[in-house]
Amino acid sequence: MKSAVNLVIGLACLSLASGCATIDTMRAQETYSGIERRFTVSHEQALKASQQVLTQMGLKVRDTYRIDDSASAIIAYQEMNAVSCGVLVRVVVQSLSESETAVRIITRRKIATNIFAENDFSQPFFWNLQGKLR
Amino acid sequence: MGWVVERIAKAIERVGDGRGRDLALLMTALLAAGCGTVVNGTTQRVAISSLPFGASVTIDNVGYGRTPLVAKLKRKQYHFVRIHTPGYLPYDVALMREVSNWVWGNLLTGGFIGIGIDALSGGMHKLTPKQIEAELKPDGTSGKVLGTEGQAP
Repeated sequence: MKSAVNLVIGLACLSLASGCATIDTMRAQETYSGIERRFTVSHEQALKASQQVLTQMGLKVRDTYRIDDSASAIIAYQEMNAVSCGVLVRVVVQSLSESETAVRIITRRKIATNIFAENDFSQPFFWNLQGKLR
Repeated sequence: MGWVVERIAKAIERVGDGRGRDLALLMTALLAAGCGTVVNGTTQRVAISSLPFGASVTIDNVGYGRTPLVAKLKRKQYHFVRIHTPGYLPYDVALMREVSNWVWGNLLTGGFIGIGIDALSGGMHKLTPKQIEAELKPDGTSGKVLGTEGQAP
């Protein structure tokens, strides 16, 4: 019994030490980090399609904001469920030219040690996005 | 797991059944099986149709047949579905996995062991969308995807 209590305390300490992802930490991520794909569409088309795809994937869009003249960001999240404390996603849409746009995605579990939570939405996101942008 | 069997066996023997241990083993097996796995199984049937009919379906880069069809897919992982036919743009959709509400049943039976089994078997997940109805667009419209077009991740 004592070892079980120690294990629970240990895991709790590990969770605290590993840190949590929040909306603010997602905003603070380096603008041009994350997994990138390029599309020959305008910035507006890519931004609108990204929002639609995130919703289609069951995520909720929390915020959309302009980073600078060429880039916008979307913050979305997956809600808590039976085995996950939730996941945060940031998508950055950057205009490279009038007809070329780079899209980058970062996925973070709200609690890093929550192993049952998804840790990478990039593959389904880009698969759906390429379908949407055809 | 052994102490669980012992306790259940003792409880049943107290009631007076001589076959307590067998029954206890059976009950433990049932308790240990994840609720989601028992109810959902490890695969899910996803109906796929398209307009026009008869389009080719590839799932995770493997040809699966022509629409309409019902695909039996593992719940444990994402699936990347492409529906395509000559003269039309391919239709891509990713099947996402969501946590099934049956996982809550592990609070009553199964406990942490049940959740672990559900996670390993994929029984805790359900694939969404549950069915795909693709309306293919004629070729020669909209944008073009750069890079790894044509390959599922």
